[in-house]
Order: sequence, then structure tokens, then C-alpha cells
Amino acid sequence: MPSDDLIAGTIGIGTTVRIAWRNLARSRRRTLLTASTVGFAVFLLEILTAMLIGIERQSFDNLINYQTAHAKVYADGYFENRDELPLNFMLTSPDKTEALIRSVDGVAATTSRLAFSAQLSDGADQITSLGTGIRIRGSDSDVFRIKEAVVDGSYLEEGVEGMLLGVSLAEFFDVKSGDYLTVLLKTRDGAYEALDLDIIGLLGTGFPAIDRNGFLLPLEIAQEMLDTGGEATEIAIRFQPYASEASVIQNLSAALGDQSNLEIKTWEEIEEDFLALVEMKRTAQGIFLSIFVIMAIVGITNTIVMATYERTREIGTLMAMGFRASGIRGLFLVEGALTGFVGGAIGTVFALLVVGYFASTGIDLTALYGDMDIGYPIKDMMYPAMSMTLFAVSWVMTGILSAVASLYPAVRASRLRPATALRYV
Amino acid sequence: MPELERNIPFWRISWRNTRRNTRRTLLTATAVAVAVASMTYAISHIDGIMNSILDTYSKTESGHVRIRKEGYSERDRSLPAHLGIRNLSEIMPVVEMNESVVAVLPRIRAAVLVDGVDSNRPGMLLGVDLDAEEGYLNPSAMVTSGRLPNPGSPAGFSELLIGEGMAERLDASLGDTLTLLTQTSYRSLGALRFVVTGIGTTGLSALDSRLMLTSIDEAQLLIDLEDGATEIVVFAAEPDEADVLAADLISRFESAGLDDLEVLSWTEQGPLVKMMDSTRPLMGIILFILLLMASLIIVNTMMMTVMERTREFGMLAALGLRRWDIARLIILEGLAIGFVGALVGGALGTAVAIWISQIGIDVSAATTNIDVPFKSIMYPNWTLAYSLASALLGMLTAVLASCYPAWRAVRKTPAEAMHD
Amino acid sequence: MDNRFIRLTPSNILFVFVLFFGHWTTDESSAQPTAEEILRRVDENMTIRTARTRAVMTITYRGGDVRELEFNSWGIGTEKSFLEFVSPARDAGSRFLRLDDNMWIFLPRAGKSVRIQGHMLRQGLMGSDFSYGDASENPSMSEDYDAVLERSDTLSGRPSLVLYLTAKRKDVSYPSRRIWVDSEKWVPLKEERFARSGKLLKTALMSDIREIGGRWYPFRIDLNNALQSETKTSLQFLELDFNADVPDYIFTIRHLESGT
Repeated sequence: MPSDDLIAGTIGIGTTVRIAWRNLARSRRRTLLTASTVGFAVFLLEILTAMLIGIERQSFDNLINYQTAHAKVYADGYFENRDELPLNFMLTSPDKTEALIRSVDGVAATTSRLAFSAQLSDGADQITSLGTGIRIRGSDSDVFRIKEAVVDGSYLEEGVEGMLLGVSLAEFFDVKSGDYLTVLLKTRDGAYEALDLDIIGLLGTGFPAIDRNGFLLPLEIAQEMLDTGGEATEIAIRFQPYASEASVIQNLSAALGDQSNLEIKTWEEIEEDFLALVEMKRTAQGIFLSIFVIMAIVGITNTIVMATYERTREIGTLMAMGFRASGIRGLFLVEGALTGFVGGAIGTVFALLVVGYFASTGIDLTALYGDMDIGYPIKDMMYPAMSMTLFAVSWVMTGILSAVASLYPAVRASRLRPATALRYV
Repeated sequence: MPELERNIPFWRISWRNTRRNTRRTLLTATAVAVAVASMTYAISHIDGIMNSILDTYSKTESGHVRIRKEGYSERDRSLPAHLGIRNLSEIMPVVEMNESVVAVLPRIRAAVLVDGVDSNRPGMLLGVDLDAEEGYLNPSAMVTSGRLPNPGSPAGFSELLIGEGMAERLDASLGDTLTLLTQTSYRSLGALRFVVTGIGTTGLSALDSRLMLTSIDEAQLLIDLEDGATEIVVFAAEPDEADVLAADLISRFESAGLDDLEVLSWTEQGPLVKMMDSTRPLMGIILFILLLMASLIIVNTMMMTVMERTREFGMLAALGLRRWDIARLIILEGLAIGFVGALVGGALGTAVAIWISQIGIDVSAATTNIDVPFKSIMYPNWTLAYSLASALLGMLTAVLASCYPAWRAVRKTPAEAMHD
Repeated sequence: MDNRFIRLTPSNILFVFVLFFGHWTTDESSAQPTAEEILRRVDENMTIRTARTRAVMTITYRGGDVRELEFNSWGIGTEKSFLEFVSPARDAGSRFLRLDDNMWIFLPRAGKSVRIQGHMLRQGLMGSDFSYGDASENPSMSEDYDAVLERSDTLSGRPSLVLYLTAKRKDVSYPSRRIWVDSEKWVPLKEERFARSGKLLKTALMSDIREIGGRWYPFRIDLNNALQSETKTSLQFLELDFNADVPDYIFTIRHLESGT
């Protein structure tokens, strides 16, 4: 320790850090206990938050991946009447429009779809359902993740007359992949069209609109059946990862500006109700999370405060040696910060490992259901969110919190007279 | 060695120890209290979330037990009126004989074609006993303008409440008349004129663009199902009673000769069970993490409290206390602190949980600013068991947490300990 | 809950309109005609100026439920038709009016007629086996279809000619049909209706062929829907009065709503 510091009663930052570090190293057990507690608290907090964020993100992702994409482009008038699945508001040259959209900054992929109303029949029963023609090669799976929802059989093939059938519909007709159903519909002009389509696979997306009521078939087959030529009802768009939705939409509007017969709808506009439900869930979870944050704060604060209180005698010694109150405060502030940052770092690293692992493999919730018969092997996976913001924020906050927490008892102790402090047990 | 008469006042020493350093004790007890309080509230909160899902679903869809005609459920996506129940007056008294039943609500759901001004729209008509549904379907909470329909069509017109989206698309307003067409229970074509007395919302716009609400009498008239309903939902005092109630109703129906009914408790109705089952493991994981956090706080604080005092224990040992005596002192101290902390924490958590379950938490998004029947107010579901369990757990953790440092303390010789 | 579409009418009520405000006449010409001529003759036979009828429609549903509906109807050409149920009691007084593509329904309990929009029907909105296309199609088959004589056949002991019809335009409900025409009475005995893909959708069988007003006419029609094999519809005429005096007031909304 440079003596002039001591004589002056003030010590530089570097010295403070050095002393603090040495102090921590000296009482290894206490440091370890404090830091590991802090670390563990941070670890738990981060895991839980990552899970909650993950669940929410996943429900959005599923919606985007299976239903809405990030945005859709329709012919003017379609959106308003979309309940009726009209065939008179069509995109007349979807390929050209797609090419135009793909050139927009922030757009990753596009695909054309053709949605229509049809009757499905097994010869005895007939059910009104929602058919969607999807482009197999070079597009639908660039935008949607339908492939991942195939629970029995396989994905569609281009030009092959076949369908992917929602699991609940399959249950109703008591069919599985390999069987067939008749699709009956009216062409755009009004003629009947019916085809027996092989069930190539079953779809379990978790969305009733698809699972309970929907079937998918190759776009060209749908166009042929409906006699719509190369037309489509919508173009679904996937944005670049991390692209700002608002700016992409703005770019899109600008690019499509001269085509006033088109309208762009974001996924939030397409699924208002769903968002409202998620919002409710978010509030309920937020409250829960804040309880958890309070516990973490109490845990960390408590640990640091206790550790500092226990050292009142030590503070007395330091003061007897001529340390000024401000020096002591500084010293403890740094010790607290060091403990917090180191502990927080350890916790964060572990949390990163655990979250990172499960974010890629997922947590199989189906395994936790026990034996539940839901008819089809729909896997219910949960993926915690790898949110760097979360990790960074909780780490920094822990450091700051620890520093502040150790300051209070240090301030109190440094106000005592050295003799009193020394008598402190 | 003969056992000496020893009279160490363990409790008194421990208690005095806790009071000797009030600040430290306070900190430790606070930790326990916060952990216990948080746990009490958090468990109530989670339970409340699960409950509100169950509650909404059972009130709007499943009932605690749902009675339908055999075969209806299989085709329920087309709302087949011809598979409706035709003998309510026979069934209702049988159901009401069960003493745990608190509500028996017949409902009619029918697919209709609405004839508005120059346009037809498909819609879903819900016919219910409007008075009896208060507290269940909560029709009065749907109304945004006008009023609920009255049963009995006094002025010759049946009355109807329509969803906001439906009103918008039909360009209909209060006082307008609408004709509803449907397939009757005899598969004929049925139609009835309604006057719009109210416009309302369920909070879900997709539903609002189709939903129409009227009294069950009018719905019976429209689908030609006198003394009938497409389903009867039955509520017991507690949801847990559903399975027993269902079993009881089945045997009652059997002995009454009503054999073409499907009786399902909510636990047997697919979608909800799946939803609850998929939520449960998740809630389990979350609760487990919560528990870990609570114990962490307690364990850590207890350990710090004890370990910082190794020297003190060395002194005690030097004074002649046996190792196990010291351990006992430490553990008793843990128990005392744990007890106080758990008591305070349990009380605090209970108070908060009860208070919030009185006022509720409005979880609805800023966009829906009105009272809707699909519950957007979430209430924690507190029971005494949650407080007791949390308190007990807190205390236990405190005791267990003091065991380790106690063991450490006794492992050392007095000299070692005093040196520490 | 998620049924976007609704079931509305008893099956094929509208089918009835076509079936008999469309078709069948008699012509005693006997030389072996071309396919086009056969079709034209059938058309001539069927194209009735005016008619008044009484008939019973029987619908057998899956599960065995049976409905019997008796009705009176009036028609002028293909453009105007009016139908009123007389039994059973719960359907008595229900009336239907069709003027070209427009349709109105009156039900006594509603006390007011309802206009059904064509597009609602055409989209299959009514669900079930309903088909508005059957109702709105042009009954003159020779206008809508090109015919090819496939072969001669014997059906129910009657000599018949088998015609394969291909739609001339895209908006014809059934892009192709096959009809068995009695080669002596010029009455269709059987008809198969196909989807665009060639898949069989419906089969109609005509029987109980009687001579009336100088022409042969089938008094019974049985219709099978290939996609709903357990649901059957049959129509039995009780009275047929061709070229009856059908006053114009019949085809008005006022008449629809008042019955007079």
C-alpha cells in the first residue's frame, strides 16, 4: 500500500480495487458464499425469465410460422371479406408481385398461397373446411414451418395430388396418412370440381383453424381445381431476422405504392384477438416475475448487507489505522461491486449454458404430461429465449445492486467511533 | 463416565442469542419472511391463473358437467340442431336432485343466416337463460349499448343482442329488425324476426363478428325445439366435484330411463384437458424455480449468520459446552428465527393474496377497456394450505440451513474455532 | 363453434325446381337422330311453358331419419317458379320464390320474406349437400352442353341411348353429364353428373313414367349423392298439370308473403 495514500487518508481507485480484491481473497469462504448466492440468484432469475420470454415468443413464432407469416399482401377488398374466403379478390400475377416484394429491404422470403372453402368427404360424411394451396418448391417452407408440424406421414410434393390434413379432421373421419378423402369445391366460375386426394401427412400445429378445419395441398393442384390459373389469394412474407417491422412495412408500402390495388397487413393486424389474449397472459406473468425479481433483490441485498455487517470490527480497525470514512465507503462499494459482478458473471455463464442448451433442443413438455392420450403424437416443446438483453441487464443490475447494498452498512459502520466499532460483535 | 446433571437452558440461550444481535436476526428473519410471503402469494397467483383459465372455459363452454344428446359432440362443428335435447322438463328436475348442483343452464347454439339490409351473413345464435346465466356466461357484461334482450317477445318481436363486429358488417343499429334463418331441429327451414335491443362484445373480435345472443325461449322457437336445448351445462359448488357429479348424473339418468344422453365432466372434455395438461408441467417448473430461490435466500442468510460466529462457538466450547450442545443451540436459533420469519412472512403473503383476490388484477390489454365476460380480471386463488405450506417450508429450510454450519462448528476444536 | 358455414335448407329443395321446371317433352319422331338432335328433343320435351304440380319429396338422412314434404308449385318457363309446402304441419305455409338468379324465402313465423343472395349460396355456404348450382342452371341442356352419342343400352327394360354431355362454358355447374334417354319416349331414365375432374357426384334415376298431356314424363326421381352415400332424396309427383293457366301474380313478393 503506498504510504502517501494512507497519510492523506484517501486512496486512489486502483488501490481501492486492489485492497478490495485482497480482502475478498483473504476471507475466501465468505466471498465464495456471497458470490455463489448472488450467482445462484441471478442464475434462477435468468432461467425463469428466459422461460417466460421463450413461452411468449414461441406463441408468436408459432402464429407467424404456421398462420400469418410476418405480413401478408392481399388484393384490395380481400381482407375485409376474408371470412368468406372469396375468390373474386385475387392477386392476378403473384410471381411478379413476389419478385417486387422480395427486392424490398428487410424481406427474407415470400410465398403465394391460395385459400378456399371446400367440402371434405369420405363418402358418407361431408364437412366444410378450409383448403390452402401452398407452393412446395422454392417458397412455402422459406416462409412457414409447416414441415415441422407434420405429425404422421410426410410433407407434400410438388405436382403430386395429395394433402396434409389437420389432426382433428383426421380424427373425425377416422383416417390416417395413406388413406384418401374427396375434396369437393366450386371453381371460381361456378362449376363443381371434386378430386380424391391422398392424405400424405397429418398436421398438428396447435392452431384450431388448421388442426380442426384445414387441409393443405400443392398450389398448382389448388389452382387447377379452382380453375384460377396462376392466381393466388395472398402472398405471405417473412422478414429478415432482427429487421424492424415498422421499417420493412414502410419499405413495402413504398415499393408497392404504385399498385394501389394491393393491401399489406401485418401479423398483428391479421390476428388481433390472439394478441389480446397474449397481452393478458403477459400481465399475469409480469406480476409473477416481479415477485421473483423482488426475491432475487432481497436475496442479493441480504447476503451483501450481512457480509458487510459482520465486518464492523474490521471497519473499526481500518478507521483506527487512519482510514477516512470516504475511503471505507469506497472500499466496500468496490468489494460489493466485485462480488456482485463476479457472482453475477458466474450465474450468468451457467444460465447461458443451460438456456443455450434448451433453446436449441427444447424442453419436452409432453414427457412431463405423463400418459396422456391426445390421439396423435403432437410434441409440445418449450424453448427458453436466448435473450442477450436479459443476460446483460441482469448481470449489470446485480453488480450495481451489490455495490449499493454493501454501501449502506459500510456507511453506518464508518460513522461509528473506531472504539465502538471495534467492540462490535 | 456417569452422566452429570446438566441443565443447559437451550431455548433461553438461543432466544437470547437472537436478541443479542437484533440487526442480524432481523435481517435473517426478513429473508425468511420475504421468501415465505413471496411463495405464499406466488402459489396463489399461479393457482389463480390456472383457475381463471378453467373458470372462463367452464363458464362459457364446458360447465362442470355438460349434458348433450348422444351423437351431438361428434358433429358439434356443424351445430346440428336435429341432435338437440327435446325433454328439458324431464331432465332438469333429475339434475337438480343432486345436492351439489348449484346451477343448471340449458343453452342453444345454432348456425344462422342473418338477413340484414341487402346482405346475408352467417352467424352463431346463442340462446340462454339470461337471468340464470349471470355469474356464468355473464351476458350483462357483454352489453356495450342498449340492453339485454327480454324473453317472451312482448311486442310480437323476439329480442336480440348482436356482437359489435356483426352490427358493423350488417350496418345494423339498435331498434333495427333482423330476420334469422336456420335449419330447425326437424331439418326444416326456420326463421324468426328479431329486434336488436343491444350491441355487445365478448372481447374477441372474431366471435363478435358472428355472435348473436337471445333468450332461450326465442332460440327454441327459432329452431323448433320446444322444451329443448342443444346442451345443458351443470355447475357444482366446486370444480373438483365435477367427476363425482357426472357419475351421479349418469346413474340418475339411467334409473330415470333417460338413456340417450352424453354426460361429460369438464375433465373429460378434450380441449381444456389438453390445455391444462400442457400448462401444468410448465407451472411445475416455474414453481420449482421459485422454491429454489426462496430456499436459497434462507439457506444463505442462515449460513452467513452462523458461520460468522465460528469464534463465538469456539468460545462456548472452551466454556465446556459439548459439541452437540452447540449444534443444538445453533439449530434452535435457526428454528426461532425461522419461526418468526415464517410467521410474519406467512401473514404478509396471506394478507397480500387475500387483498389482491378481493380487488383482482386487470390483465386485459389497454386495447380492451371494457368489462368483458371472458374474464380479463385475474384473481389469485389463496387457500390457507398455501400459507401453511410456505411457512412450514420456510421454517424447515431455515432449520436445515443452520444444520450445515452447526455441523461445521462442532467439527472444529475450540482452539481452531477461536482462531478462525 | 368454428363452423364458418351453415346448414340451412332441407337437402335439395332447390334441386326440385330444376328437375321439373326444366325438362322433358315428347316428340314422336322416330328416325335414329344425332346426339345433338336427341338432346334438343329432350330439351323440347322438358321446356314447359307453364306448369302446376303437386309432389312429395322424401329425404332419408344418415341414421335413418326420414322427412316427407308435400308441396304445390307453379312455374313459367325457366325463369319463374313458386313453391309452397302443404305438409307436414310444421312446414306448411313455407314458400319459395325464384326469379332468375334471385331467391326469396317466406316462413310464416317470420312474417316477412328473406332474400337469399346468390353469392352466399354459390359459395356452398349452406353446407351439407345443398347445391344452388342445381337451381340456377339453365335447364336447356342443348344450350349448355355439347353431346356425343356413346352407345345404346337397355335400362329397366327400356331401350335407351347414352349421351355424354360436355359443358360449353366454364360456369356450368356440372362440367359433364351422362344421360340415358329412352329412345321411344324421349325421356331421360338416368343421369350421372360429374365434377370437372370426371368424378361422379350425383346420380338421378327416373321412373314411374306415365303419359300425360300427350307426352311421357317421369313421375318419380331418385337422387343419390356420391359423397354422402347414406343420404337420399326422392321426388314423387302426385299431380302434374302442364300448360296450366298460371297467373303472373303468383310470382310476386306480395303473393309470397300473403299467400293470395
